[in-house]
Amino acid sequence: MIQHHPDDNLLVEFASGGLAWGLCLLVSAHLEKCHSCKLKIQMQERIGGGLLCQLAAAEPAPDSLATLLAKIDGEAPSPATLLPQPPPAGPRQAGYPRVLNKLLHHNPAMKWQRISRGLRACRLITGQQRYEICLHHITRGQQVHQHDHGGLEITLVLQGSFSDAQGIYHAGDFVTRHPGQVHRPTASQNEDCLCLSAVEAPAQLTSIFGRLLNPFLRFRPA
Amino acid sequence: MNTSSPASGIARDDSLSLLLMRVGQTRDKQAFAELFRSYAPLIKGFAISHANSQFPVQAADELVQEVMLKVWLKAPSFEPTKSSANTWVYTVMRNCRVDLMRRSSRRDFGDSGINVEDIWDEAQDNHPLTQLQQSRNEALIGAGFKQLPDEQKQALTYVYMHGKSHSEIAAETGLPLGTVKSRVRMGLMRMQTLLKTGEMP
Ligand SMILES: [Zn+2]
Repeated sequence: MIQHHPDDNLLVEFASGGLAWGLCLLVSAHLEKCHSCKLKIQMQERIGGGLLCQLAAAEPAPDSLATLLAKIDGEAPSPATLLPQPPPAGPRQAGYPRVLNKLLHHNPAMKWQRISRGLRACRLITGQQRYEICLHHITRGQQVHQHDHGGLEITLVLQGSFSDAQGIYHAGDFVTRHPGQVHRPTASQNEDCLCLSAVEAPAQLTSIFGRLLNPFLRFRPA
Repeated sequence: MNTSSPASGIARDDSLSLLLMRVGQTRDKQAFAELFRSYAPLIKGFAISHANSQFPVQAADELVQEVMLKVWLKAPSFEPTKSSANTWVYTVMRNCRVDLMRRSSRRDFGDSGINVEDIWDEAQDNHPLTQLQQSRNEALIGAGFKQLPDEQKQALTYVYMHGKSHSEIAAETGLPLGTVKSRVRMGLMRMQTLLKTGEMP
């Protein structure tokens, strides 16, 4: 049962096309598993549809319709190419959100880096630069170094669960941490935890020991 | 565009949904031309109000072409039990705009193989409207919107009609981000109640 969701502000940014692409990936992955958020998005899109007629109309270019009809009569792509495609063959995990499987397909050379005892991370190429998108793997029972972040940090739990001072998070949970919210995630004892995360700005390690590890967490979006 | 009263809004809404169904089911080009005449000016208006550095106003006619081509191609997948034509076209338009904006950034940051159809995967949107009422209430949105307090109206205008993120709105208006968030939330809540109940709270 999913307990943690994007807030209504983030959802409406998604529904209205104003959300940064990096975060769209995580929201989309959450929506695939979350019925209640999907219903909210549907509602917000309906508001968008209802507001359509409130827009100031502007006359299209005079040849616009003729050009389009010619295009349709000519070599228009078949409708099938516009419908969502099945995920391509390649490294794929059953149970992963489709959008993640597609991302993994385009990141064939995944480089997992050991960050600290029990914590590994792998940066994903996502075609944007505002957010660093990573997979994080925490070995069962291990605790990540306490850290703060200069920007938004969003974590989507894919497998297993982790906890911090604010709560415990299971597969499908969408965990939002704002700048200044220090936290120290710990994976559950019984299962390794895999997460997809988006970090807006360099994460700051707040423990003295942790500072040594800071170079890894520096902001290197791709 | 017209300042549709709720009543004329319903008629307009229904006839457009019927046209869209005809285009999807029988590939009727005359019906498509009618849809074009209704929606193209709105799409161009949407493009102009959404213009920014990544999406220049010169791209407005390009957006009209792209959206209406998608409308033609995807019309067979339109299901009136799930949404009205207006909402369906709105989502097509939103996706095309994001796609156009991403074309320039893809050149800069590489292609991740993810496209807008993957992000807003319609195949997943398989929730038929539970109440028929809801789609009718959609026609009330325009009138209900005008009754919102000015500050909420302004916030939702930035969100829906200008496609801005909350932090962009805060930067443009000089309002604290928290204020923007709460105005958007309050405006949304009232509009959602209107959609559900047909009455403005
Ligand atoms: Zn949710």
